[in-house]
Amino acid sequence: MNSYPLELLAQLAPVMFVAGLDSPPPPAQLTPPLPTAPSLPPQAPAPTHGRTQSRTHSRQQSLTANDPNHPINLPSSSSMPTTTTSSPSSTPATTSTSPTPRPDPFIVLTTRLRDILANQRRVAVWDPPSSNDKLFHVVLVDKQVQFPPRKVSNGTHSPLSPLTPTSPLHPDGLIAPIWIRKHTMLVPAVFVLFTRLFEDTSEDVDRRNDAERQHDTTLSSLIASRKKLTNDRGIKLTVVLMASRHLLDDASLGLDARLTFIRRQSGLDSRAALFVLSPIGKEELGEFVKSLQGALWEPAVEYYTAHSKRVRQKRNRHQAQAQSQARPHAPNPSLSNVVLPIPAPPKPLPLPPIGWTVRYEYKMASFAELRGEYEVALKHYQDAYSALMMLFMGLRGPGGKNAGVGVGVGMGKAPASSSTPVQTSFSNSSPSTPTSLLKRWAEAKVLADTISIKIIKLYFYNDESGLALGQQRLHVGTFPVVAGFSSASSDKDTADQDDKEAEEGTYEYYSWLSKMWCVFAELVVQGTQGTNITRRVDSTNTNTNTNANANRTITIPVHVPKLGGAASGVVGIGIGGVGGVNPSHTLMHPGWYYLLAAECAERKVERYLEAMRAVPRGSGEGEKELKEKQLMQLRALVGDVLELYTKSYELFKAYSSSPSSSASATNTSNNANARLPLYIAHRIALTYTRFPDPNPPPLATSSKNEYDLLPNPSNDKAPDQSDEDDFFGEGDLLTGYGQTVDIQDKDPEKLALAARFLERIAKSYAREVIHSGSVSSVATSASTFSILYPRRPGDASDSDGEDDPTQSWGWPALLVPLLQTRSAILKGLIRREWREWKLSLTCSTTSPESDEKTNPLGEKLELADHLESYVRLLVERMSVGGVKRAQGQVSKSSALQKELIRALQLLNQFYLLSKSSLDPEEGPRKIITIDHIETQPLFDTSVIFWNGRMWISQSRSKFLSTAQPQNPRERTPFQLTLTTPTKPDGSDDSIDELRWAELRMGVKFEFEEYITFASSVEGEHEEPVQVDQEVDRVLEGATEGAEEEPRMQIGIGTQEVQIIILAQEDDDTESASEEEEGGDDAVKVIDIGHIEFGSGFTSEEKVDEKIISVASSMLRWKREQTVVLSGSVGVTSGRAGGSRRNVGEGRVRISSLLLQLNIPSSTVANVEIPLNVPARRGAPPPPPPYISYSSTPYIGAPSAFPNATSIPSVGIGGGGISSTLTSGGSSVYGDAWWFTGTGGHNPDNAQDKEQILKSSLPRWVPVTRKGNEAGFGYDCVEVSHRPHPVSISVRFPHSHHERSSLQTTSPGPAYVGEDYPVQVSVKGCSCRYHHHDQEPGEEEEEELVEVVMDVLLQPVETDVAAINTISIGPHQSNTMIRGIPLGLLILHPLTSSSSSPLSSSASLEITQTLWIKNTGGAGDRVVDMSVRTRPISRSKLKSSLSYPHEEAETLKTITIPCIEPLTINWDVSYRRRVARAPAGVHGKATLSWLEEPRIGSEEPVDDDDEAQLTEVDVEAVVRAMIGCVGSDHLGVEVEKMVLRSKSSEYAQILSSEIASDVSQKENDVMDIFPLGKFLPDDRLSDICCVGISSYLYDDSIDDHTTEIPSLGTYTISWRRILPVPFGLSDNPNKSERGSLSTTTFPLPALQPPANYLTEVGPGGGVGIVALLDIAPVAKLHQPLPLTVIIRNRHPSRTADVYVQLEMGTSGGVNTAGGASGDPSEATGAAGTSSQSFVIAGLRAGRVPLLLAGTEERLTWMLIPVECGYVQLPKVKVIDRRKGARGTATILAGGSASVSGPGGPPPASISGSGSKITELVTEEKGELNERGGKNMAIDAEGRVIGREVRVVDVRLEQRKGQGHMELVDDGEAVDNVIGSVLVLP
Amino acid sequence: MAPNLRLNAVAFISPQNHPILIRTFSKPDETAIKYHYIAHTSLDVIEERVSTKSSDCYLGLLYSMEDVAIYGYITPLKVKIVIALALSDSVVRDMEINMIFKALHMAYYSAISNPFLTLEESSGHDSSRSLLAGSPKWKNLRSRIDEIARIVGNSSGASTGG
Repeated sequence: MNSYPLELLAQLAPVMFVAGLDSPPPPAQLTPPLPTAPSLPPQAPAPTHGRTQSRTHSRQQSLTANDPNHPINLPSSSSMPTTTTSSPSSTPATTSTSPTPRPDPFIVLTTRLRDILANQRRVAVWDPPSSNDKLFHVVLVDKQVQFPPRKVSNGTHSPLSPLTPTSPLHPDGLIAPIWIRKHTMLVPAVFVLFTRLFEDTSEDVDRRNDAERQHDTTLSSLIASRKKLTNDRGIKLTVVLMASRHLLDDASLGLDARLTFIRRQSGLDSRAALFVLSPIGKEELGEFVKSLQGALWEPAVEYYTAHSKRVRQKRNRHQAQAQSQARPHAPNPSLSNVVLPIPAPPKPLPLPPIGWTVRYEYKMASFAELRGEYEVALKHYQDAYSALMMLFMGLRGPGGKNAGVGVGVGMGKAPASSSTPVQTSFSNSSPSTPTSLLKRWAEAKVLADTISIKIIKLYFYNDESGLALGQQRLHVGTFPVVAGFSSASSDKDTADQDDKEAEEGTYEYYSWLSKMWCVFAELVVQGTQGTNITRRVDSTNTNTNTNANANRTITIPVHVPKLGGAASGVVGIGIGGVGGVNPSHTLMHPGWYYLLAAECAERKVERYLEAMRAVPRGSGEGEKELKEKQLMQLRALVGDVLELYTKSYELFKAYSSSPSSSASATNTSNNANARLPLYIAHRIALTYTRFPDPNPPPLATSSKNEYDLLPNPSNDKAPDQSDEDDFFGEGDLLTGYGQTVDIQDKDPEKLALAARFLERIAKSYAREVIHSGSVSSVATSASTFSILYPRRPGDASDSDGEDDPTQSWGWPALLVPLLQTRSAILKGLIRREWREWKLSLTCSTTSPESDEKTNPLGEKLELADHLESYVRLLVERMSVGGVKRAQGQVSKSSALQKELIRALQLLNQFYLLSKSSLDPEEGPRKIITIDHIETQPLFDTSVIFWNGRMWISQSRSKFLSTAQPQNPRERTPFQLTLTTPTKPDGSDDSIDELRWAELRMGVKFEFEEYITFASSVEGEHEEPVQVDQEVDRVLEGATEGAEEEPRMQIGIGTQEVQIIILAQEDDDTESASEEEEGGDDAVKVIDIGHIEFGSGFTSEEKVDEKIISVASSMLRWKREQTVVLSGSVGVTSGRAGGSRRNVGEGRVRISSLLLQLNIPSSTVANVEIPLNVPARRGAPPPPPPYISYSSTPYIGAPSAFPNATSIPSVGIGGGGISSTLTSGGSSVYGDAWWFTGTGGHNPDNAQDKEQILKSSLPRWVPVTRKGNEAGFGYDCVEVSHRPHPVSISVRFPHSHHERSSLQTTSPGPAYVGEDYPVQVSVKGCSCRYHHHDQEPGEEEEEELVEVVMDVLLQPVETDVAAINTISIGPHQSNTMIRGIPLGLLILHPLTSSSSSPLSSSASLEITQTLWIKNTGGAGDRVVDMSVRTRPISRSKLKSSLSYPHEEAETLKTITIPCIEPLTINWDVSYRRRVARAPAGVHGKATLSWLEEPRIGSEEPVDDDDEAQLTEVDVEAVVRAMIGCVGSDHLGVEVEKMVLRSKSSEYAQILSSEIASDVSQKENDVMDIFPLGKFLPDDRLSDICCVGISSYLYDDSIDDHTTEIPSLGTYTISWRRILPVPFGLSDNPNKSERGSLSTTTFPLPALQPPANYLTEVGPGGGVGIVALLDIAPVAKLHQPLPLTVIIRNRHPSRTADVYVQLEMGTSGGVNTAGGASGDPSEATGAAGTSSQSFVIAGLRAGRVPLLLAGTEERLTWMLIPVECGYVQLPKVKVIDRRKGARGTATILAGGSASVSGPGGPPPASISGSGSKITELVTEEKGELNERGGKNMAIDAEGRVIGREVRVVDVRLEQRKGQGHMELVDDGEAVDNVIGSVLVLP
Repeated sequence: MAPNLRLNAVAFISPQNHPILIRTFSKPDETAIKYHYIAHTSLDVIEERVSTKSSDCYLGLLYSMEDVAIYGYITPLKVKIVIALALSDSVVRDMEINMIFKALHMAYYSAISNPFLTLEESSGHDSSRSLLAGSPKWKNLRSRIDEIARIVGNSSGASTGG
């Protein structure tokens, strides 16, 4: 964007000239009236004069106006009159001010104003409109500023018009940037004149007025003259008078009059022309500026509109003219002449009409833009653009091909016209001859570009990114064709002489294209990064960041596909039509466009290079200069490319990191979302390789041949000269694949940089291969990669296309070219540095004194560095993939390895030479270690141990020979395989020419080591490798003779064997002998032999290491060849041996693998390649496909083992393969394959060749881990001590199943609460290890072990809180008992063990009984038992020391089901207590009856009257049903059953069935009686009665609970009836009983119904209840007392109760209704009570006043006169107390609702709830029917009181537990007075 | 009618982001590696889209380069399909692209349904392992893709889908 004139790009805004804001004069010069000499403030840019910008290309102005130093105002041209002339006129402001210590407020004001105005807007390309701000582009000018002349003095045209001869555009220019500058710098739309209003401070009014009048007149005349100037141009003039605050405020000073005067005098407009400003603060000033601009906006717009109008008129006139004139200039337009360079016409013709159209449209667009009308501007710009296109087309179209070719030749294909394309095309400084003509053309091109940019920008302002991109694509696509500097397809026919260029474009084309995309990218960057551009400093001058996002108008769309609902036939146009986008119009983030620009720039560089090469090389000084110039130019060009790429890279980074950081977190690969940046980085690296060499070697430029013919000083003595030449000669090997990089004559520094870059990038790519591969599944660790990788890099577009044989894993297609490029670069570098080094070496040898300068150390190091990395790279390439072998290119098949060898030889030579010349004391050998951490390994490696676990063999005899076959579990064979990867695609990276000097394999044994310290420490092995912990082991039961105080340390010990396989150095006969030995075999086996660890590990030098050397001639790999190192390992424990090392558990694994290359004649440098075992892609070679079906029958045959000594035949089954093949490997380790040798075992079938071939094929069998080895890996073997053969058996004496089997008895159920015995017996196992190869008759040695047991009782799952107890002997614990010594045990008892000396103290079996006591809930009890056995050897029987590693642990877990022996069911019901409560039941604080032995005792309570009477109102009847659930016929014998009562405040157990007297508290035993055997289904019941006080409710009314916690427990003591032991069943009486156990059952918590306690019921007055009590059965004619107890339960109120006995029929009597039908149903048959009884007693009457808490008992005597169920007479109790009902009901309602949550019957809730509403209606006096139900109404209909609920206590019994209450809702029970069965 | 879509390349990428098949239909020159790069880099955009978008298979236009527009598709089993269309100045309807993707998906689906495909895999841990780029087993898939590309190239916009 920088290459365009800023004027043509910058965002336009209306221009405002501001005069009078001069910078303050220096303080010293305050007094005299100052000429405003420096009229422009220092920060305002001084206009530069005489800088005509006709050539716009050289302008280097950044448009990203970020830096404040950037000029805001454009430099004025020469035509601008000098504004800085000192004016003699004195400004009033300066005269009036007097120097004061404080800064003059007006100076401050002007300074601030200037700051605000000057900084409010910066010229920027990207300045989108914001809705509310109207900002002018302010130019600070002098007051006397002159405007440029409108017309040339003698003509009618503007001085800029092409028609004016002096114009720079004359005669055929279009629009110059100067025109824009005129309208942005020189001619304003509004002119604001700041001036000071004179203020006289004198008191004299007249004098003051005079002075003012005088000054005002002067001012007016000044303004008037200015006004005249501005009026000429239609510029609005506004005057801002600066006056003091005082003048403004004081009306008496006549400001208004003065203002009017000034306005009139000066002829100012009436509107927005005169402002008065007084010194104000910054914020207000900002407001003022804003309002000023707002007021002036409209005149400005008018101004520009007027301009537009004029231009439009001109255009119309011109168009009409042009049409009428029939295009006089058309046949020969000037531009076409311009671009025809050869016959340059001396007199160009004037501008064609279409050119004028461009001109006018552009002007109109600019004016619209100035007005801020962007839509209009856009339209005009588009018109201008299309007109310009037509102008270009007009040149090409009618002019025919010649014109086109002319353009093409003139501009693009410079070689045709000029011999130096470089000059013509690139250098503006040296233009070719038709300068002016080319200039016109270039101007037009610039204009087209800038118009396009403006259009794009305006689209972006509207966020129409698609249209913007469309414009860009249109411009990019069509304009080069139109303008003719790109010969696109349209004129391909004309450019047939150079087809390639015609297709691919010229230098000019790509240069332009790159520029366009770069500009576009810049635009997008500016549009998206709003914060990057400070659009303006806010007018308030405060740092408001509100506009930080204002610029962010471009949104980058993300394509969200719309699939559904699209009308099929319609295709939308533009973005988002019908479910689709135009991909070419979809905006992406600017990094893409930078990338595009960079790519174009890269092509530009290519064109440049082509042009450079095309120039024939000359000679001479000038030629050299030119050459240098070209190189400089090339460097700059490449630098540009690099810059573009870098910008793109950064943007890609930014865009990939910001929005998808969450995505990358979830992604598997750690380098996710970095692929695009990686790609660009790759491009950057390649760009580095393009830098030309700044100082090429003098001869190097010519050709490679000269290079190689360089005299080699060491030619005669270096024997490897041929190698060196070969090395350099094969340079082209490395390219020709993917990107070809010509590294010749390139900058070596940059090349090195590129190489480093590429190294990093290659690592990233390689990491992706490895990483994502390993992530894909865990199981791929061993063998996944082996099968398919490495494949040659994919070349997916083979020529035939049908079968490309490439297979690729990962992205080697990307990686391999990268590596190739890198190696080419490195090679080039090496070649160059080698030469230089050699040269310097020559110099140094010839003149040794000068070598310090010519042979700097750095260069040497660099060479070594590059050589090293080249070597690494070659190895990497060998492992990743290789050279594509073309047809007939067999010679290069082993190119890489040859290259590697040569490089190493070179390195070797280098070191040799440098050592001799420089530093002879340098390191003796240079080893290059190539790590495969991030690349693919060179070999597939794997290791298999045949067994996953093996035992430490005990060296019992001192003369143990390791050769003696021992227990086969004590040694295990292993195989290590090294395979060159298979490459089925024909690419050949064979390494068969690489000879490997040695192969080192480390076998490591890591183990727990126990080091003992006797009191006399003389052990030479005190320092273990790592001491983990120091254990002072004093074990229980084994601490007898501890006076020696032996100590022991546990450490981690290692023993490592380095196996070095040396290549046999029989060079001459090597090949022959190898052939004989079968060097072509697919598998070669190197036998290592047996490796013994532990005490068998003896080494001379070090303790921990040992070296075994094996010589072998097999260290060469042909293709797909495998070398198997096979051996076996074993571990011997060392107690009996000489070693003191006591070996614990550990593992043996292959710790390291290292290959060393043998480079012929290389003595110094060498290569070591450590390999991972197993390698990531490494695995045992996969079986060839046919093996699985053709040779399966033979696998596993014993003859398949050639080295059968080390491979046991155990466990190899023929079925192994098929099973593993199908099962696919059970463990994560996948399959492992064991090499069993080659074929040939079945010669009978070897008739045909194929069979023979197959028979010599290697065979592999799968190794599986089964049984206890399952889960072990193949790559190591776990070493552990042989477990002691100890078995634990458990018996359960209480179990019933004993008779079935003695050993494996499943435990019978244990009862909760009992002590359950478990008999544990530990027994030495007599089992032997029978193996095939074990000698018959061999017997295990007898061994004495000490047995210690740990018991762990697991928590019960069902009842975590339960506390269970285990006990053994004296030990007891809730969870775990540790270290129970069980005594000594004899293992492996000989058959004649009776004679053993050990038998005296030891036994063959140890039995111990474990008691488990279960409490808590039923459920399984799990007991873990761990029996540890420690050997006590015969010789050291006295030693207290024991080694934990020699301990064996045997585990046993038993599960005992546990059940409850007894269950209990509760049945709770509640009833009211009728019995007269003693008057003395008191107690708020303490219920006195609890102290009393018995409730209801007749003892009078003496004391406190203040105490409320308390009664036992409710009785709970708790019925317990205890049943026995013992299994089978197993029962318990209950010895006693006790009810223990707990005291409660509100309740007490009153009676119990099993306890005659509850009061026997002293032993808490309520009853004892022998119950005897209690078998399943036997039950025992008890009923106990609990009295509950009503205070319970009263007190707990707050916490809403009426629950009474359990009041006591039943404790049942029982014994288990033990089963009859087998054999004793004939005597059942002798069946044993178990120990006494107890079970306790707590009584249930009680929940008495709430309304029993408070008497809230329908119909009952609250607090008052009447209980009716009568015997249920009566005899005829015998008197029967009917008792009604009226209780006033109200805490404070007395009750006035009226009782009425109604003798009528039930229906008639029951005025309350509601219960009319019920009695008959409830009683079955009922007579009417009036006839049934003769009643003696009160018929109706008033009971004496019932005090609160008292009761009254009324008794009637009834004499039945009728038999059967007879209905009782109705008793009606009415509480007549007035007002009682209100409060009572409220109380009732409250209490009832309170009791709701506690679980009382829901009916009562609803009942009481309804009563509240009912009450409300009652209070209003509306007696409805329902209200009448509860109301007693007298005969007159008056309410006489509330009816009290009468409860028949016989009927009312509630079940407990709330939910059991079925029928008992209030309505049904209420007022039911039952019947009496009268018997005759 | 929209001009014919021209497929320049089709890439199948495994769930583990390994190329399964990259097929180019442009001239058999060194630009093949360009499509390798395109397939590789489009993984970035795909991951971004997948992380933000819901369950749609068709991911829409991933990006467009100088001459090609890259569209992406991800199967429910996370096999990614990327196609490169020759860039033309016209609206490309999502329906058509989706149809192409569906066809490609079906081609892949039927190709991996071949029971012999994984026959040689002894330890079928990684099912996609056998589906590597350039595997000779893809002959059928390759021809199907070619067929799809041919049909896409031949048919006018309305009759896409073959």
